[in-house]
Amino acid sequence: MNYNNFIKNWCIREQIALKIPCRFHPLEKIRPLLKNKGFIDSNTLSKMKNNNIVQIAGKVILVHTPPTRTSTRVMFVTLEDEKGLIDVVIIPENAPECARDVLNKDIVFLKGTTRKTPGSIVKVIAISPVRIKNKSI
Amino acid sequence: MTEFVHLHITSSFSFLWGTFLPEELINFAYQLKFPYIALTDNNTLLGITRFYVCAKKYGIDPIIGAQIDIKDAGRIVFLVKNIDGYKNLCRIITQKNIKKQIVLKDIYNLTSGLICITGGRFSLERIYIQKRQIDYAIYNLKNLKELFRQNLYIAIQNHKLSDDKKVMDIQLDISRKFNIDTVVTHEVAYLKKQDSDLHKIFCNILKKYHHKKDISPLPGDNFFLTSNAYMEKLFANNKNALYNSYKIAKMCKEFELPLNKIGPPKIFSSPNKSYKRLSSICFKILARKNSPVSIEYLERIVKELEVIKRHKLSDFFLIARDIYEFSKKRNIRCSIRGSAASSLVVYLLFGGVDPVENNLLFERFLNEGRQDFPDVDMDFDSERRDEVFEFIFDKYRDRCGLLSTVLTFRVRGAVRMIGRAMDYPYSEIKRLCATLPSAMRRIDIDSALKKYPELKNHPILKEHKLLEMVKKATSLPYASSTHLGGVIILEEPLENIISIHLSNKGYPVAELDKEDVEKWGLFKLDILGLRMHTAIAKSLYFLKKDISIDEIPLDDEATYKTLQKGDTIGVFQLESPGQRELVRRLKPKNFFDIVVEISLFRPGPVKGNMMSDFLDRRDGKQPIFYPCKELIPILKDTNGVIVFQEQVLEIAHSFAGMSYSEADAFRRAMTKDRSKEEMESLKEKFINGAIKSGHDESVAENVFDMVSCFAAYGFCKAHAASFAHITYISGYLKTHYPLEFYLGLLNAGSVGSYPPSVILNEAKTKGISLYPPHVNYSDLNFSPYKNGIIYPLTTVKFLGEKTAKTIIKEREKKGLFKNEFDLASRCKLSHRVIKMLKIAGAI
Repeated sequence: MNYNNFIKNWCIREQIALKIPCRFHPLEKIRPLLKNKGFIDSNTLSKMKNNNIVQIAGKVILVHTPPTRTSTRVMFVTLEDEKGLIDVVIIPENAPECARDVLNKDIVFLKGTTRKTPGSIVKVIAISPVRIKNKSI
Repeated sequence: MTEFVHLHITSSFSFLWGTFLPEELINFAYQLKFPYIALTDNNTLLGITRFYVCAKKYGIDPIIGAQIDIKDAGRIVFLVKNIDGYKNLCRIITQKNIKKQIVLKDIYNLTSGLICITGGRFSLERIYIQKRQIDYAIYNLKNLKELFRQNLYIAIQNHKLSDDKKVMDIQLDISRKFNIDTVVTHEVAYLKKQDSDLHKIFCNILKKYHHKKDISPLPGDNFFLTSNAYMEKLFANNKNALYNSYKIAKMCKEFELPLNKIGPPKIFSSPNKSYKRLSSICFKILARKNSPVSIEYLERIVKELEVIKRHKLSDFFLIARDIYEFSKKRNIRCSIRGSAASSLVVYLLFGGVDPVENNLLFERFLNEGRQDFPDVDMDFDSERRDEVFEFIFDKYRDRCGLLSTVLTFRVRGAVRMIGRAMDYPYSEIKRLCATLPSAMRRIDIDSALKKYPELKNHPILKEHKLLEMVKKATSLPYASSTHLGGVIILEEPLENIISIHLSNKGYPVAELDKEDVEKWGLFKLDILGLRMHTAIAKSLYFLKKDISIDEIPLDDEATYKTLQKGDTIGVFQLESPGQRELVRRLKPKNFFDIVVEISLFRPGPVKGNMMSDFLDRRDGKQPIFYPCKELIPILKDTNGVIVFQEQVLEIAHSFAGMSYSEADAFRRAMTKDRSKEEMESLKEKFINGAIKSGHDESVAENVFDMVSCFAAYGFCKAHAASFAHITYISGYLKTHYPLEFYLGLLNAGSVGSYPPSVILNEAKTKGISLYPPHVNYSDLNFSPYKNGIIYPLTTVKFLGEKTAKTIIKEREKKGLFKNEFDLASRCKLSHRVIKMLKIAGAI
């Protein structure tokens, strides 16, 4: 059994038998596939510069719609992959498509642009959801 | 003219029966020019405080009462004539709440000072008369007569129902025969005729939602608040009975609720002794903590103790200290939150952050003008808070109780419950509710429809009747529950003050909510549970090292580096995505920066763009501007931005020449929604004060504009400082003892924003090994294992706490398990559990 299959095997076993994953994050089993399709992980994202188009995948952890200065309803979403957290912002123009995925699915695949202001963490401004057709997802 | 007084009214505090708030009743009564009005809710006194205070405000004499279900008398109306009657009514309702069912024998000694009115709907007397069992009705009346003598009245009612006239004739006949007075009453469950639908829907909620099958709504639609003229016309032949309602009202009007008259228990026989004791404790601790004691501290403690003495609050502090001492002895973590943290006395008695060192303003907590008891909110380790409750209830016994909280209809809940009552199918209710945004939970549907454009075509708009009922029901109470942590402690038995029921855990709960307690001026403590205290306590347990975590210096560089990096998952108050973002921009270098951080990340400052203003000024991107030099010492620390409520107080005091109590009143007024007139009057007061203090009018106007912009957003610095202390401690633990910190978080229940999987994932990325559950090494909780964390057995699917305990017990008793067969035979586990353990690699 090669390493990828080993991970896949344990991910599935943990999914069946454990309430909280332990050895591997649920995304680890599909990371090779995601890599092939151009998705980056949170670690790579944190080193990126402003205004890059990226594809990210993550488990939905938090969805927050706090009051904003302009009174528009912006969704702040926290995703998690095996390397850490990803902060995603869904602005009203892109809300219907992206929000539907974020509110209904455990794991989401999004395309967006990076935004980094001095001193802050890299955020992804979601543009659209990405559809992946693969049996392992 | 014959007067009539309504003596039988049930408000929405008769849950899912009455359809209006006591305030609405008073307003309506005022319009109808009633001099007296009664409130007689079903088996509760929850609504009486607001009813009483509002009636007094409108110049109407309130009559306090309740209708109580008694097994061998039916539903009887009791009205309070005097303080004895009030105490008795409280006791009767308490008995009813505790025993669930009471009989006349139970109230044998509780009749003095009460007027008893029988004969209304659901009274046994009326039920027997309707069934033509007159002898039973007479027997029932005789029993009541024996108890209440001349204070017993037979209610005659005419709601224009088919048998009203017949019943009334029989009642009049009996009253003549047995020499019992009659009184005209008109049961009111809705204020206007057209609200009868809502009453019927409420009864349907009871039937269909709460499965109370024997509930039936009031028939017809004549149970509304009638005018005097209407009643006089209806009872033209019973003038005497009509007049009796007025007579009863006059008998009851003398009674006054003892508001602002009941203090906390006396620790010593005289206030002077209590004061001496408090001073001695404070000075002793001060000498121990700050030896040699500086003048600054001495002046401050003397000033604070003087104010405490004048307000006679020594007992208050001693009681709170007593509770703190208990928690300390038991090693239960405790801290003070809120404005109380700005007091040196509070710091000395309960620990926390030093208010002198952190420049916290005592007057925000207590000033000369404050009349009520100040708030002292105590946070305890959530898991051990019940031990504190046990201590309080054991020590003060019948003189203390928890507070109630009233649950009111919000839009989503109202759609769900009313939809169910109106026979909407579940799927339809789900469809209607699911698409209502969650933000609507706190506003009424009309405002929501205006505020959110996407609700324009919401399916609920087509459901006209449902929408109308939801609009009417929103903000009405529908149930009561136990307040999160409010405890009142009194100098006399609680039963004398208010009726009581028991919480699920068996603690006494007073039928008063938070607002009522303020109106009563009672001594209240908030005994709150804080999960972060649980997490810190558990971290310290795993640390197995004696560090006085509450006393660590607040200048640890490594801790600030962790915070600056935004590595704050699990850190108290700083872990949400927005906070992580802000903390990275703010880069806290000292304790004050954490205080500012916590204060800035609030809906108000975010909306007011205060965060950017603060950061831009600090980083030199925006000039720092002070309207006049007197404001520099007040606003210097926050770069000219008003971040704290204390700054508003200082400006009003130093710049506009107000006393601290006036300044505090000004601050409170500024934070509320103000009308144009109120705003003008506040402005005038402020500017006049500033001119008197020697400032130019134009400068005064500028300062007022600045204060009015930010006053509503300001946060209590003392509260932020006490939270910042916990933030610092959690940050310190995360920096220096990450393994123990994560273990503490994982074992403390749901702490903060993130699920355990995120915390575990972070631990893993930081190089801490995670080990899956194993029958030979796992515990009931996450535990340390080979410098990493091992999962508890309960993280295996289908394996509950009971089974996990069995496995652990067996392991401890007879040693490690050799294989799955050994495990299965020794613990008698199901095939499914064994299978799951095998898949998880736990055997």
